[in-house]
Amino acid sequence: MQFTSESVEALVEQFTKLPTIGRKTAQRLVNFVLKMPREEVEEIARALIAVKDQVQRCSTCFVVADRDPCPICSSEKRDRSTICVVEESSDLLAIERTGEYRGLYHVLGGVISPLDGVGPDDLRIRELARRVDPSFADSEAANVSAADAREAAESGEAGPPEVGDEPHAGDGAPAPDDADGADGAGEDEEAEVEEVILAVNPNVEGDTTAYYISQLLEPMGVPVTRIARGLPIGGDLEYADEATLSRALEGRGAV
Amino acid sequence: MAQRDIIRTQAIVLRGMDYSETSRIVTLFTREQGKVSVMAKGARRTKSSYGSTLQPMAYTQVVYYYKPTRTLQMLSESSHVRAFHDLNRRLDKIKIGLRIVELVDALMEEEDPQPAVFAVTLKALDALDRADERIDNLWPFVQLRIARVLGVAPAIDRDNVEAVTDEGGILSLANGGVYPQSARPSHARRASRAALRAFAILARADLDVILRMDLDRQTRARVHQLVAEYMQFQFESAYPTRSRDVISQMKGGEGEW
Repeated sequence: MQFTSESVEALVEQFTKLPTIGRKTAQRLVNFVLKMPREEVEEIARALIAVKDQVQRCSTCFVVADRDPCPICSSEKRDRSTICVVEESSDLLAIERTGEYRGLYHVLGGVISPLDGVGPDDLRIRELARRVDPSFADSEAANVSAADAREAAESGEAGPPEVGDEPHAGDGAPAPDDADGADGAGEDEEAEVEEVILAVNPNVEGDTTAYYISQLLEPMGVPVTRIARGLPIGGDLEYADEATLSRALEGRGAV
Repeated sequence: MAQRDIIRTQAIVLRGMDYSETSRIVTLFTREQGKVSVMAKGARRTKSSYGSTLQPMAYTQVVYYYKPTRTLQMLSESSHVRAFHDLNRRLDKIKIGLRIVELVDALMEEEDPQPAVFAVTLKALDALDRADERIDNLWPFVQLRIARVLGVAPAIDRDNVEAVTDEGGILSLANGGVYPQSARPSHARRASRAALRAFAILARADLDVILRMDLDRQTRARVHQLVAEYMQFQFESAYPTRSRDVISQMKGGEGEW
């Protein structure tokens, strides 16, 4: 059912664009907004606009920040020889909250998910490789040429023209919002990277991303580690599933 | 069937998507009911009892409340029947495994029991987990085996395969038959003798034979292409290509398909 006020209806429509907000929740939110003092509503409106106007991505680590480079990348106190790779900015915040990590970060912007059609070219994986080894861009160009030549040679057997028409999503298509950061990434790195820590989620997509990055960085000679997987603190060993317990045993450490 | 049943069955997890703060909507391919979508409340919590059992390619025993009037059932329990430990430790295995579950997800209808497809899928994932070599052969094998179960098995005739000479032969996309150069089947694709023989073996032989079959790089690439074309011809737009496109971005690792 629609509201009698067009502006109320319009706000309901706008709220339903937010994740996990259905029409009923949107209506409840609008009713709440109607009861709020005007100053508070203006504050919310200003905050929404400010997020779009002022927030940007750090051109080095791609975290959401108010300035570029972000406070972490520009901090002198950070260990610049370690890069912790996370999926999203929210994961960075979770690691920062621990207070245990003093290195730099790299935000991928997601994980490789073949079933959802998200591949390496949709993420900031090349930018990571360039941070670890600035000469990666040159070797990448050489690899692409070699691969193209090999494909051309192999496709010689294919008879009909439609055989060769299979799309390749990765062919030279950088992520749309990467353009600004890609050129500058790596230039500000002063210290040589000595370790890359992969802090991706322990699921199939996280595994795929971790193995892919590990293979990509292997020729660069930089140790690539992954945060431990296994039992959560306060969890019960008896109720852990086999795969989790297996990983916990695999990643056991000295007491 | 009663208005509300408790179903206990084995399932292979096809895919999942996050829902709300901590839940996941998971698509299961069950042995008894075919493809079923379930809501797994709290599945993303760190201490969730579901653990890793709802990850794609997992082979689990599930319990869910089934109500025929709704399209999303409520998951109650899930535990590994057998955990595929090695499958999730190698990128090349993950790639193939994900293509298999994507294919099953695309070709199966909701709540249409297909025990034969379930058996093929399970056998393939199990082999993928255990095998160390020639795992690339599994992907075309699974496709042709599922095609067979769904009634579009390649019509392989031994005499015709033997008649293919070193000059090469023809695969008919219409019936999956392999023919010598002189034949004029419909929707023909030319290929080398080695590629066509491999196609015939993949369509007919058992899994242990497939996992012993050595193919050179060029033949393997061509067989993969022929099988993909055959499947696309038979299943048209239902044949999934999304993960293939992503995997082609990841080339440079192992395998070229």
